[in-house]
Amino acid sequence: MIIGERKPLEEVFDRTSSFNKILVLGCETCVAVCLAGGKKEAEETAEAISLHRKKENQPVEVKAESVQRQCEFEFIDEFKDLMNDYDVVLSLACGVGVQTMVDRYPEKIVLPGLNTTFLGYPLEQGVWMENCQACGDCVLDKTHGICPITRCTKSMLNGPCGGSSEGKCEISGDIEIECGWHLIHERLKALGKLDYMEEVEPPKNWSTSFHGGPRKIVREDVKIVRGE
Amino acid sequence: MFAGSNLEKVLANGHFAITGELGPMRGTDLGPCLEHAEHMRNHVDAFNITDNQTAVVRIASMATAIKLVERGMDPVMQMTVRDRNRICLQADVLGGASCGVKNFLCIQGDHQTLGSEPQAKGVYDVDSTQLMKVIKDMRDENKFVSGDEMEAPLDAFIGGVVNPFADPFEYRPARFAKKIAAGVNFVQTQCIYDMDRLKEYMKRVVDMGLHEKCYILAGITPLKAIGAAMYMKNNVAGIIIPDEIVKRLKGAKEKPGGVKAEGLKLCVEQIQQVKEIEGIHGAHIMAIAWEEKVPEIVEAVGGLMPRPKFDD
Amino acid sequence: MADFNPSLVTLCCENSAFLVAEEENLPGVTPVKIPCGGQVEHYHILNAFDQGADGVMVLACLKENCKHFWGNDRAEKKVNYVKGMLENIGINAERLAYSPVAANNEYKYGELVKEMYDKLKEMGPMEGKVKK
Repeated sequence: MIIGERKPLEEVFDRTSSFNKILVLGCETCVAVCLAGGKKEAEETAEAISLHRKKENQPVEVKAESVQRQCEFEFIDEFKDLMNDYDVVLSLACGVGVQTMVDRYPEKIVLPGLNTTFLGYPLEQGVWMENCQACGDCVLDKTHGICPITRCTKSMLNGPCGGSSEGKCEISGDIEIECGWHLIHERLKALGKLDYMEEVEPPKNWSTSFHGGPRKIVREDVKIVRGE
Repeated sequence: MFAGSNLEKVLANGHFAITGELGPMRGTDLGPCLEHAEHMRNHVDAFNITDNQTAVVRIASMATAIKLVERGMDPVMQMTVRDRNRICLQADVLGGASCGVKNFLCIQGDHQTLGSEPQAKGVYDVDSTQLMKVIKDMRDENKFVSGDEMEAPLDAFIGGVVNPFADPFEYRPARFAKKIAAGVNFVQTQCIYDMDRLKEYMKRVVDMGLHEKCYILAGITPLKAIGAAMYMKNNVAGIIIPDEIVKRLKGAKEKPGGVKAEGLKLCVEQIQQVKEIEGIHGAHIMAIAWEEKVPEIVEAVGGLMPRPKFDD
Repeated sequence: MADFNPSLVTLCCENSAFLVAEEENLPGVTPVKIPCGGQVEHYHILNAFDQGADGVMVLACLKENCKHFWGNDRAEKKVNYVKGMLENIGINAERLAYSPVAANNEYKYGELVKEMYDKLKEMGPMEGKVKK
């Protein structure tokens, strides 16, 4: 899923300081599951803004709401009336949700309240890890389920660099980063498939990733044409 | 001969090769770097120019390499895949080669977050192994990565690095074999301090016959201070410094010449030891911030001077 | 600040602190019953401040005595998180406190609340609050 993190409150206060009617809009899908932008977080962010503005002697009208999926028109259409009562939306959805809102309500100002950080999953409660970069040409079959593009800090495709030490990546600091290729090596060894570690993998085609430009998928078979 | 560089000739003729490392400056004056090169001119066969080493911004390795070519020296132009995509990497190989550079050393490069510009975007379009193959295909097939034909041929002696001290240790010889399959002609190792581990690694390399397909230069770095040794031991991933080495340096504090003299002595002994290991074809001396000591080290090893000369 | 009478909200677990709190009835203190320390959300605490509290205490069960296993531990972590938020907002984090209290310990509840109340009295009204 998409993992996010609320922007620092100072930044939220600063960006919303010129507005007097603020709608804080959470999203109940990915960012709610990672405890960053769901209903609860929308409520606490709204409270924080309200408290801060009171302290600054500039009271504000602020309301917290959330929507099942901020990245789909069908879901955000229900806010049409409510939108008229507020002069800004602080979206706690991922960047996709923010832009979907802007697309649907072009006359409104929609500000991001989250930093969309990565595609990943919760390792345990309170710990989230990146494991996919949406490169558009999945190689997980070759490495048996561990992504070298994401899990190797240098996105290497031909094994670990010289900075792999005791299973850890050279950039490990306060937070330990596992060496992705160490993990791949261990996994392939367990599966009896170490042969792959000896193959020279040619340069990757990055044109399927963002490097080929913003991506768009068009499927004529599922498009709805009026009059059909 | 792949490129006929001085380094390649020395190795091809069976001599124990000596190369020295040069780190370009962090400003526009290349003077100190060229001075170091002149100082070790008669003691090394080639000069290895780092490419923004440790991810710190410096004068480009290609510019420095070209300056050495102008002085009649043989540079090894390092190329990391961290800062350039395949367009720029191929362009720089052409650029270096068109100005007389013959040795190209492909490395991954320390991660940008560890260097002077930690907010930089890393490139990593190709990895170091792929870069070897890219240069090999340019040289042997006259083709770019895209398959397009080059307009004029490339001569290149392709280098790389191997690290016997990184993990997983059991995979390291296979990774070396992969680099050979990708086209590497010579490699230099990470700084050696753990001689036992090097010997174990080399035994496996020789058993696989890799030393017959690729020249291997042992990486040697003299230790100047106990602090430097401790820093490398604790903070540099992929370098192992055994406790005995630290103990030996500490024990030299009161001796004449102190830690520095002991560090040099240790370095000379290490070169003497690696010379005896089957499969090692030379030594690459990385005297970081101590370049002026290279001639003294080479002379002290014994039997290395004078360096072989070849008529062009 | 002798004439300042703070308003203190105590969010009390119904299995421990609230059993004492409802008996005590201290002036200036508003106990709020919560089902478990683990049920306290960040916005509950912020909301208490937003509604005019000068201080908030979260009072849950003693260590390893939570009916729902870790509700008290989670409450303590949440309080620490909200302290950080208060600092960002510009409110002294000392206005928020967490303490464990046993159901049969009126004395401790009284002591803790009095201590906090006196501290708030000393600190004065909420930062930025317009004095009447």
